Amino acid sequence: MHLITMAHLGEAQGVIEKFHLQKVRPDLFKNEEMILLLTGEGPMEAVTKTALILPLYPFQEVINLGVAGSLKNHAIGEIHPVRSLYLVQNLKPGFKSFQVFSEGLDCLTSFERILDFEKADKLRGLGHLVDREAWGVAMAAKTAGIPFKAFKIISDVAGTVDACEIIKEKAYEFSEKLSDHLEKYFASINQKIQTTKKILPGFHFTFSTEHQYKSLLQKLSIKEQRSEEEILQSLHTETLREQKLSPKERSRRLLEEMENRVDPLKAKLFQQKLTLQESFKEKGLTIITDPQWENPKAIISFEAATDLELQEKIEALKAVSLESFAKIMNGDFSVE
Amino acid sequence: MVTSVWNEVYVEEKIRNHPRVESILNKVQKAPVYIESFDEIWGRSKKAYLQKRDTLNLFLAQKQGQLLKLAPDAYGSAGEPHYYFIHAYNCIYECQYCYLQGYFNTPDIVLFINHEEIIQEMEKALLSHPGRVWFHAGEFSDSLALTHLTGELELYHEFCQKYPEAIIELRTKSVNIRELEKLPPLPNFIVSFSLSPDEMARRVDLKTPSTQGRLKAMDKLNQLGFKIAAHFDPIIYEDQFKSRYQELLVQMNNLKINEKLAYLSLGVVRFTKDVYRDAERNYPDSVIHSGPMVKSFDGKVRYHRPMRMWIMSTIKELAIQAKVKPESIYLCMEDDA
Repeated sequence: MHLITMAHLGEAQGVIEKFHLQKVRPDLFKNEEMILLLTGEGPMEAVTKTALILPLYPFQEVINLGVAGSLKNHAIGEIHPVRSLYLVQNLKPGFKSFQVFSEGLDCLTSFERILDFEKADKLRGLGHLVDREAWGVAMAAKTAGIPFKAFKIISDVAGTVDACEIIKEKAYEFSEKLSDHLEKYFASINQKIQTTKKILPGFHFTFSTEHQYKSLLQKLSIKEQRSEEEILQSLHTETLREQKLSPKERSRRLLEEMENRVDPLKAKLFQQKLTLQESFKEKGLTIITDPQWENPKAIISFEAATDLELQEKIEALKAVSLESFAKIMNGDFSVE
Repeated sequence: MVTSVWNEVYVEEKIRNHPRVESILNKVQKAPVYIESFDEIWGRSKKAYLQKRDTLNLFLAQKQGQLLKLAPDAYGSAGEPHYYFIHAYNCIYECQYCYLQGYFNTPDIVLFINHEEIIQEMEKALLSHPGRVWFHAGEFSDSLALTHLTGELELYHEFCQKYPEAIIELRTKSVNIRELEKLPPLPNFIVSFSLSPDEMARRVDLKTPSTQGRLKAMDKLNQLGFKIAAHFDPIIYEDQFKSRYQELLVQMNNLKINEKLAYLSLGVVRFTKDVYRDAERNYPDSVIHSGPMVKSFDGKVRYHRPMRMWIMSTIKELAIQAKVKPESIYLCMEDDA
């Protein structure tokens, strides 16, 4: 379920009509998929009313829609996603800010209406837009751990004395534009869900191996400067599919192939480690090295039940060497 | 109409009549907003790093508190004290691995104008150590990129003239050497360039001059008699890294740079955990994430040890083959290398 927050009924009218929302109480409208909350004007009102509604429904996302004044000559009627949100009090930014979209405009939620140009001038370096609610809604949503989005329609130039009158006059027009925008946003989300990448048929991934697979695919795509589809085609997925292997084993081998391509030393280091372990095992000793290849020290252990056995192991220790291990850890090897 | 690269310029009220401020304002051609103190706005709330692309603000301020910081071990060549002095916060460039993306709360640039006080601190530090003391610029900002605006190089140069046992390193990726060219070379006034092979610089050193441009600037300073140095840091793994560094070193050698290098530092790409997360968010498709990264001995995220040691020893060997003096090569940020 989505929570939509807007400040006033005037700007919310379009959303109520487009999504056929039913009035639950004077500040609350709903259908099966969304709830519209009218927060009133001001950051304190917004944070309080949003925080009170959040525990009552299983919201997956909170979206703030509304008008904003432009500090930078944006065209009136344009709708922008909000990139960053700041709270300003006495024309100075507060400590907490929120990142919303990766692109868009930066919005300042102000405790006061910005109705003169001198004040607007002081805010120009801090953001593109001024509103009165978005930061408060974000604060409540983020504190509750619910994803937050915001879209603002440019209603006026910040610092204009008669901004309020302009907004009132154009409220319905802005409200229709905002509702159209919301409809498009929902459509884009649905499309994204449908195009989410399908996992390879014939392979079985657990939650963590799927994550590993996706991460390796991305790394290879970046490293080799080819698309993920091209990387997939270059892997031996067909060969693995033809072999009589369990889907889980197929996945393990595929991940190994991918890791070897990401890390040019992986196979070589693995081979050297096996050789080292074998040389210790022949003498009845065990060597354990850091699986991350970071700690330059190895742990050597053995078992002994009698003094005689202990003496034999001590003699065996004199015959083994860590030179090859030290060379590996110091990068002293050749790679073709 | 004059357009400015700065979104807004803020000036602290107490320095509004400072000649250096007036000079900078004349050059940036933007009406300033006067404020009490830069930190009432700068960094008060988190401003996303990439916002520097379209809303980069400039602050002119007086640095309070610590003007000089002792550098960590393995910062420069070993055995001598190293300090870095703080003349600015943040950088106009956008290197994808840069720790500044996670260091401050904001990418907005602060230029401090009280260089005389910074130099006083440097004098105190110098007197507290016998022998040579290093002072590095460029820890929090490129040390040359904005010198056409700031005009402080002369003061630091004078300091080096007065104190031969002090060594200043100006670390840069900039080719903005106009102000330097006005000064006579000094043996203890070193300009060091961070270099990567062309293709890698193009991919990760966003908004910086090209490697070829940096080599040209190095060549010019070298010919003028300036002491120069180079940093191959960070080295980022790619399958062709050996041939690409070889090509770079050959180019440097052809310009007769290698034999004159005061030092060449080698360091493999590394991040604190937080900066790695920031870099992943800011540049999800960057080549810096394509290698086998692990959490290393000091908690930093790097390639595993055999890999980084192999990369550094390979490049060190190439550098020696290209006539860089072996004793001038040092490995950066490896405790026991």
